[in-house]
Amino acid sequence: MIEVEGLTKTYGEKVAVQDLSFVARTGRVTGLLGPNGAGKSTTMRMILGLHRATSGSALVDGRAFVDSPAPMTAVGAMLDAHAVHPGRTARNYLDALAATHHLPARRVDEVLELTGMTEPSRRRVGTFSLGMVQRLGIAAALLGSPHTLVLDEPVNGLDPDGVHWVRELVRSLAAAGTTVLLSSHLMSEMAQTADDVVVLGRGRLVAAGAIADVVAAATASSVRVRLATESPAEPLTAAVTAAGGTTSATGDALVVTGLDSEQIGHLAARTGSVLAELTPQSASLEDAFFELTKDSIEYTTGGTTS
Amino acid sequence: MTTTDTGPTARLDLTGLLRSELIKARGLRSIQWLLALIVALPIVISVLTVTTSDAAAGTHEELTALALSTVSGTNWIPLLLVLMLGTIVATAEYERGAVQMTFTVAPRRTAVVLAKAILVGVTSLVATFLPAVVAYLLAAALLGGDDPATLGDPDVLRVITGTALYAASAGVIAMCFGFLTRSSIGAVTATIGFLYAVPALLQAIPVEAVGWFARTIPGPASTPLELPGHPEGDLTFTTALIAIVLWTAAALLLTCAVVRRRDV
Repeated sequence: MIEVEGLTKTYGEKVAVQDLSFVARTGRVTGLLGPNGAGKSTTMRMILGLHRATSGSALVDGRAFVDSPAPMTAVGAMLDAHAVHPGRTARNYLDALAATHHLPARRVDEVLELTGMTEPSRRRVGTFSLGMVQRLGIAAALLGSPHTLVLDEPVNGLDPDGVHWVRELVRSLAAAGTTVLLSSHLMSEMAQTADDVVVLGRGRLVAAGAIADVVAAATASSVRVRLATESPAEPLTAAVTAAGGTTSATGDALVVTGLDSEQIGHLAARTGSVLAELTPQSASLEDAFFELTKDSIEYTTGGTTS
Repeated sequence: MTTTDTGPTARLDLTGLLRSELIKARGLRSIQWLLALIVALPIVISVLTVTTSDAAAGTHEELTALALSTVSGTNWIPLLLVLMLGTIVATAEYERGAVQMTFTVAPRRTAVVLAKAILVGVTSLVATFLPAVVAYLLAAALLGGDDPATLGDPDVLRVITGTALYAASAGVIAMCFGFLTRSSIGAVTATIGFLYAVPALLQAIPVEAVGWFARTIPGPASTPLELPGHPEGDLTFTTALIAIVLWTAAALLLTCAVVRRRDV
């Protein structure tokens, strides 16, 4: 279990993470979700003691990670898969990591096999493709058979097979009792992997909880209504408002939230409005994510917002 | 998936970190090359010097001085290579940010710095001592003579040991600057600056205490360790040795303090 409590990190004037609290529970996959610059990596670095928190605490299984007598068995981490000297072979890299904790050489063989890296393990890391580097990073994270896994953007650079493999791997590890914390800026990826999500925006907690609840809360379902040209909008919008819904105009159509299409149909019949279109719209996960973080995107593209 | 149980036997300690650093060092070609040159060059140079000199067989003292000069006259060559070795052991960690994994598996970073220091210190000591002995003995054998030079002659073991001790200290100090600057070129520059430029500048100040302090800095303090005889105005062998050990320890303390505090 990872318990983050009031975690704050400032770099000079810039606040990277502010008063962040969440729990990643044992046996579950917790997704740290947010746009670039939201503080996901900084949070992971503070959990691992690589960056000192300005204030607050992060505990792994009840104690600060840096106090663990065998850190590799407590937490396996992959922050930046490219953080390997390009002149080493994969085997040399893993052997050196295993030696720190007196892990047997056959454990290195196991993780190489598990990640499909046995064959290229004698090659230098500098010659690896992005996907191979990522697999090596995951192999290194698994080396100590850790109780907790912390993976920063683990599916970056992997092909669809690889993405599926990572997903199955973390699901099976969580099922076996591992605490898994992984980050992504893709809501759709999280939806297929994570049990719980912690949504960050500009270093602050935006939402947290079981993924279905967070998505449901962020996606008020809406209905698109277009009236025949001769039919005025006013009677229907008044009726919708009276019934507790809200309307907004988009082009020649209305978007109604708070009521379902059947209720709107009844209202239209009662007010004599002629419907040309009545379409229920289910918001996608990406919409939910955008909805949650729209006020906290650090770098927005210039011009019109979509 | 078969899983080897890594639970009860897995632990983080200095022995494990030392083995890890040894594996890391062996895994880099630059380090293998440097080590090969540190070992081979003094021997090659010594043999070349003696075979190309047309010194006729002289007295025992002349033969000893000549054989020893092949070591003491060229000790700066392995020394420069040792500085690079020490630097790379530290700065290889900052190649593409590899250090973040090193400090994730060993979050008490002091132990990593110490393991590297032991690796650099012992490697530098052995890799400069043994080749110097071989170089001296080869030179002595090639020079021949009725009464050839031996290892037991006065000053010989002191000069060879002193040279190796200074190399070990300089290697560790270079490693410290590698951690402090996180850049190979920065570390080599800082090390040479500290060992030689700083004491030269300080000695220009006409205050006796400052001059004495400057002579304790390992660059000038190495003179009584590395040269035969005892030049006027230098520290004694023992004082120089203590000075070098203290400066090395100070560099290590500073490095540990900085590395522990710094965000990775």
